[in-house]
Amino acid sequence: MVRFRDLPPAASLILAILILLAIFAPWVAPHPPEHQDLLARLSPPLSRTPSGFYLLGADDLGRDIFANVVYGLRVSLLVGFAAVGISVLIGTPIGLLAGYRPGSWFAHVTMRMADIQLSLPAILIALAVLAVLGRGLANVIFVIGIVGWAQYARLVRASVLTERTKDYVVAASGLGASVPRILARHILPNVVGPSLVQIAVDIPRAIELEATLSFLGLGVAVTTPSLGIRIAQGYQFLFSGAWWLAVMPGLALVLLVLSINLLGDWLRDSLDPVAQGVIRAQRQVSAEAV
Amino acid sequence: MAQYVFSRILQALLALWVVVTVVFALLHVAGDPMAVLAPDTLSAPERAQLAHALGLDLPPLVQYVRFLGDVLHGNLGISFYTNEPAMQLVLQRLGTTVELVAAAMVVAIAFGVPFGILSALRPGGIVDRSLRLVSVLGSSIPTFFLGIVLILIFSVELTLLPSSGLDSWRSLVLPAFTLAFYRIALFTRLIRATLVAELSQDYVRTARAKGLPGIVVTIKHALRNALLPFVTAFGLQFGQLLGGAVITETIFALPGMNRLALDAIARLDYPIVLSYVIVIATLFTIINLVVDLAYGMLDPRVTYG
Repeated sequence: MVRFRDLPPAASLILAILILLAIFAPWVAPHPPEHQDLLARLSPPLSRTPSGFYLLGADDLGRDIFANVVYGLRVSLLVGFAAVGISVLIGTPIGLLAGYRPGSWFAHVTMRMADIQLSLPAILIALAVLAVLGRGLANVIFVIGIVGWAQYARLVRASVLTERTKDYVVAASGLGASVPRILARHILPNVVGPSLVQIAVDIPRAIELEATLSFLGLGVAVTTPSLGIRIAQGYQFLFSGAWWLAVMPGLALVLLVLSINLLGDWLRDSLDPVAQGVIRAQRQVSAEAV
Repeated sequence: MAQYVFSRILQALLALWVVVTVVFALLHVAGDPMAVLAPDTLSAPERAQLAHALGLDLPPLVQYVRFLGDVLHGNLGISFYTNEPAMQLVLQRLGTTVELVAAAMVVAIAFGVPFGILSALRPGGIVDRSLRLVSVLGSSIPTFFLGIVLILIFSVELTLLPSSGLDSWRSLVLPAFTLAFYRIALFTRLIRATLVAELSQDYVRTARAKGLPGIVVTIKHALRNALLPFVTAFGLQFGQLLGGAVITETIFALPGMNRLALDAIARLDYPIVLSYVIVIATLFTIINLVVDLAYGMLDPRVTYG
């Protein structure tokens, strides 16, 4: 049986390996991702050809799948971090202001917008916006970033609502500190906790969304070595027996998302004293029931 | 109660009106509607004629009122691609999408609820821990890749089930499981969390104390109450299911309305996209209304103040 306390270390190890592979992609990959070797076309994983060793096989154009996976990891990680960064940068100031002045028109308008945004599936909004903007890496990062702002605005607002009545805020305000200063210097450091957990949840989500959009043909340009695009291209060869074209990039994607999710789960459990209390209470209850 | 239902319906209509107005504003403020509605191949006199025929030379307010009338009549223009009424095309495909979403929901409930009960019976036990591991895995596999893996196993290797098209119920099995997989994980966790909380309540202890068998207490007494948050989750999941259906319909080549919309987006076939947005908004509103009302019927403690 897998023990849960072994999972976070295993997940960190896998994530560290994937990130290192992505950073050192030019040195790790035996060929550039777009390099075609027609003699190696459709070589299965672990094949040795005159032109070299293909760890994860080669695709229909003779491109090294391992090279495409490590470069694809670069795209995934870039999109994940950059998009979530945009979400945080948009959502946090809005949440700070909306929480500090809860009755203002600004708070009403932004929170209503957040409600609407959260009730619509992110992928539908992203598809519609990309249909207008056109595909491309920058557009994808921008759209995924925009789609995620509402969570941060809400989380930060909720924390600010309880912080704003506390003594240190009243004191700062009484000493004549301006609203931007109170928000940035005093309240902000005390409300970032919940956002950290949300970031850990959102990065894998952003990575998945990019891969999905690229798979559907509305994400990054076809020339970008995205895992989603490689899976879409490999998908055509599923029935001819060349399963590794789609499965290898797919497994890389799953490993990346899974390892971040496991770390996020662990982060949530260890940062959230309430959840820990509930878990402990549940253990007691179950012990009594048995 | 009647007053609440009335005001909720009014709210729903208001929300629909906002969506329709936003769509109108996007078409008319964000760009020239002629650029969107007329093919580029038209000559200048033809454009003027089309603008007149569509009423685009009228004042904006008059156009807006006309647009509202058109929406009420389900008249949202002609598809650029097939020259058929756009709304009719979307509604023809609605049935397939509803079948897919309903099948996925049935699968998710059929697996998620029993799994949740099993986990809650012994929190921290082997079943609970295994299911938790599976549910983390379930939320980490992108829908489109899960679909590919299922096709590879059940269509290519075992040749048990069809991988594309919609001929019989067998065609729906793989898409339904693909779409349901994440939901199974979610429902397992949801039922487990609420059921564990219910099992520590006084009424459960009373039921046990009077000698009812544990399984009866769990299923008949506690589960009923644990199912309440589930109803809300169902409403929230509907939107997510529609988003997931875009992917599932694409991978399994199902003739649903999401796939139609995706193709329309790629071809810039705006009347179809517009009709799709309005159909989705209507479905959303209706589902949320039904969920809100069902909640009150299932839980007598909920009052509509």
